[in-house]
Formats: sequence, C-alpha cells, structure tokens
Amino acid sequence: MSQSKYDELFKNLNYIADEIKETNSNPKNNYFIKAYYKETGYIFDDSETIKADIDFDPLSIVEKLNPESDSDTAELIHSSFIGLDPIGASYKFFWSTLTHREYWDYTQKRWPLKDSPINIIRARWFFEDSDRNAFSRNAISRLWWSANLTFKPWEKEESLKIFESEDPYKYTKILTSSSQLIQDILDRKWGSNLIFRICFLEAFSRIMNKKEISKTKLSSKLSIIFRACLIPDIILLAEKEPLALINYIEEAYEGLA
Amino acid sequence: MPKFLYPCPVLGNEDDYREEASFLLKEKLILDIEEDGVKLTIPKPKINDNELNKYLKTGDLSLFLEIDSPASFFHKVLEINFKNNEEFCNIFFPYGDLNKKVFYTFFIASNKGLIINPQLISEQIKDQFSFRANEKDILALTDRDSFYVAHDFDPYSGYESNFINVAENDNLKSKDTEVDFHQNKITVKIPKAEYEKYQLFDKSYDKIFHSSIVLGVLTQAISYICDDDLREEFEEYNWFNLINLTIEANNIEKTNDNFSIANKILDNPIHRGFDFLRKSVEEE
Repeated sequence: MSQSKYDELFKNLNYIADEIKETNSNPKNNYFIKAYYKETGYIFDDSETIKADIDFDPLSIVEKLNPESDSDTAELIHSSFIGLDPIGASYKFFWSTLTHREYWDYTQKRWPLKDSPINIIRARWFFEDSDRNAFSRNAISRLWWSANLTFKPWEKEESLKIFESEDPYKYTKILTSSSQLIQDILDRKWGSNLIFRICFLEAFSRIMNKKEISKTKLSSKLSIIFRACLIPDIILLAEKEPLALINYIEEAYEGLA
Repeated sequence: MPKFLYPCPVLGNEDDYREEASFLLKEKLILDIEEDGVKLTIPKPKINDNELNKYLKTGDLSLFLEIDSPASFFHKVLEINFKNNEEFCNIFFPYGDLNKKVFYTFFIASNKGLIINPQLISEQIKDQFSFRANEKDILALTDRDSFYVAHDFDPYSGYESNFINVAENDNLKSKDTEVDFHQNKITVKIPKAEYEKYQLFDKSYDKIFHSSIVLGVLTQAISYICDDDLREEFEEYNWFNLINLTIEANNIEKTNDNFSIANKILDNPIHRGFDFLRKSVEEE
C-alpha cells in the first residue's frame, strides 16, 4: 500500500482506539476492528498501492508460512525476499501491505486478536513505537529482520569466523526460538551491534546447553548483564575478542545466578 | 564526596567537572549520501581540560565514536584517528548501515593505566583527586546527538518525488491550483480539466515541472521550515524532515532567502528548463 494509505489506516485505528476508550465500548463491535477478524484481508485499488521493486511474488510462499514456528517462517521469508536490502526493509508500508493482504491469514493465526485486538493490530499489523521496537514487533518484518541480522554473521565480521557453521541460519534459529529473545535483543541498542548480538546468542546457547533454565528467564538475565556492563564499559566490551566477550558474559551470569 | 557508578569521573556527566569544562564538536558533522553508502566527515572534537587534552595529544587517551542507527539495526563503537594532526577525519559506512535518524556520541577513553589530575574537575571533589584510570575507562563524553540519512530523498528524480504529490483537486468547484502542506507529502491539487492535460506528460518533462511546479512549492515549504513560528505546525510531516535534512546535508545556509535555498536544492531548475526548451525547439 502507499504511504498515504498506510497513514490513513493507521490514523483510523488510533482514532477508533481513542473513541473506544472514551465510550468504554467493546472493540469487537466496531466496523474497523471487526474487519480484522474476517477471513479475507484487504483489497487495495491501484491508487492505494505503489509498485515495490522486488522481483518476487509474496503469494508463492503463502502456503508454507508456519504460524507454529518463527524459525521456519523467518528462514522462508528471508530466503525468498532476495534483493530486499535494509533500506527497502525500513519501509513500514511495505510490511503492512503483506500483513493486510498476502499474509493476512498467517498474521491472524500467529497473532490471534482474542479480547484485546487494538494493541495487537497496532503492533503486529502496523508499526507502533520507535523504529527499533516497531520492526521487531510487526508480524512479518520481525521475522525478516531476525533472519537478516543473524544470517552468516561470520561473512560480515572477520572476528566472528570462529563461529562459522554449515547452517547459514544457525543464529536465526537461536534468536527465533523465543519471542522474548527477539524482543530482548532487537529492542535494545546493543542488540543492533553485530558482535554483541552474536555473542549474546552464542552465550545464550552455551548456557542453555549446560543449565536447566527457561529461555525467557535466561534471556532476561543476560539482557540485564549486558545493560549493566555496557554503561560503564562500552569501550572495553567493544574491543574484546568475541570469545573473551562470551566468557565475560558467562562469568557475569554465574555471578548473577 | 559523590559516589560513582562508573570507574572514573567523566567530563560530560553532571557534577563530575566544573561547568566551564567542555568536550564538544565545534563544527557540524558532514554527510555525503552516495549510491554505495554514507561518508561521514568528522571535525576534531575540542576538549578544554588541559590535563585530558595533554594525554589525548600524547596518544595515552583515544577518541571513540558510538554510532547507532535504529532503523537499520546498526550499532558500532569505532576508534577515530585524525591522521597527521588533521582537523577532519572521514569514515565510510556501506549502503544499508545507516538509515533515517542516526544517533552518535563521542567518548574519550584511556589506552593504559594513568594517574590523572584534571584541571577542571568539580570543586566538590577536587580535593580527592587525582585519580587512576585503567585501560578503556571512559573519561569524557559528548551529549548524544543525531543526524538524518534520507537515502530515498532525490529531488532530481522527478516532479513527483517522495516529498511532493500531484493530484486532481477533489473540490470540483475549485478552478485554481491549490497546495496542501498538511500531509506527509506536499500535495499540489490541480483542477480536473488541467489535471487531464497534466497526465499527458511523461518523465521527459521533469525539467519543466521542476521550474514550474516544484520550485514554487519548495520555496513555500522552506519558508515554513525557516520560520520559528510556523515550523511547529508542519514539523510532524515527512516532507518537513526530508527537506530540512536535505538543506543540512547540502550545507546550505538557512540564512539565505527561501528562493535561493530551493534553487540550490534543485540545481537551477529554471536554467535546466530553458535547456530543455531549447533542445525541444532544435529537434523540431
């Protein structure tokens, strides 16, 4: 959809959200919200769309999208949208077109609206909050970005070659194994740093293999460690070799545990 | 005596140093947005504490840049070296690393253990100091600032670009062309009959549209950007940000008159329009 169509829909949603809050009415009774419970997505006319410069038909993979597995779907989307670069992937209306049209069914199944539809529509169909948080929440963009930020990191950064694997999506699988992990990493400033991100995931994976702890709890603890260490020691951490950084994280975790 | 949550007092943190102590960029960062990436020209930051400055000159302290681009999930901490004591240093970020609003902070950190006795340390703590800085301890930081990388802003790409739309006026009674600045793209609304004529022209007529439509609209938009009383009304719209940042990226002084700024951004569209007309006449 075009930027102006996106703006129009999003403005509508916010207007309706305010109205529902003021009148304390049931969102499910509102015509705009009701549409998100329907089986078929939006149909945009020509004046409401712009042509994306991507040589790929999103419908060709629609049957393979798996609402039960973020890992499978992240790999599928990332490997299919060849040619999409980080600048193209920063257009919110591009991802929102997919959630509203081609991947409507997937989005509904992955993010059921239940009884609080407005917040879910806002975050998963559209984008809310600042860029970093918003992209890690939209139903489709979160998967592409998760994969793109973890795909073959050893080819992007020499010092990460020690982690090279036959599986190009090794770290995508770790990241997308838990929604909490995606949020804990992609929401944070340090999560945008390739070395910090991969070291976090490597440390996460190593600790998970040794300890009995839930993914959510471990992710949350490691996030605290990162935040606490980075405030005084950002230069120190930035200059550490990846293995030394992982040891540092593991030791800090032991101290916290 | 204040307690620090960080290893050393930091110039830039409230109360660690005296008010007159400063560590800042005297000039603005210069951005060159190119097809393959963004070149950042960094002016040498100035620090007015003699002790820290001395160690910086001897290489016992180093300068670091933390750069954070949320829209492209890019974050890096880089050591910055000014070669041969030059006043500027260039860093190139490949296409895709930086996008939209990019935040940055400069740090000074020690390269080895040092005993430091800062000249401008806060009065409250000066009796307790000198202090020992360990390797990589942060000793000074600038305020967090930002610049904007608008990869998709290309005012030369066509008369309809990412900041301006041409549309049929939905008010059928209107016989004049109107401009609506209260949308993310500035919308030039043309009466129905004129809009039909307008649709007959393809991109080859861009140069004419630059001088006849875009120049006027851009001049008006710039008047809003440069007017402190009016900017509040428009600064939420995308066009405002894009044009504002293009002025900065092209190092155009906002003290110029509005027409001159628009003319510089569009690279003399009237002259280009004449060239186009001359060629058309010659071809006939």
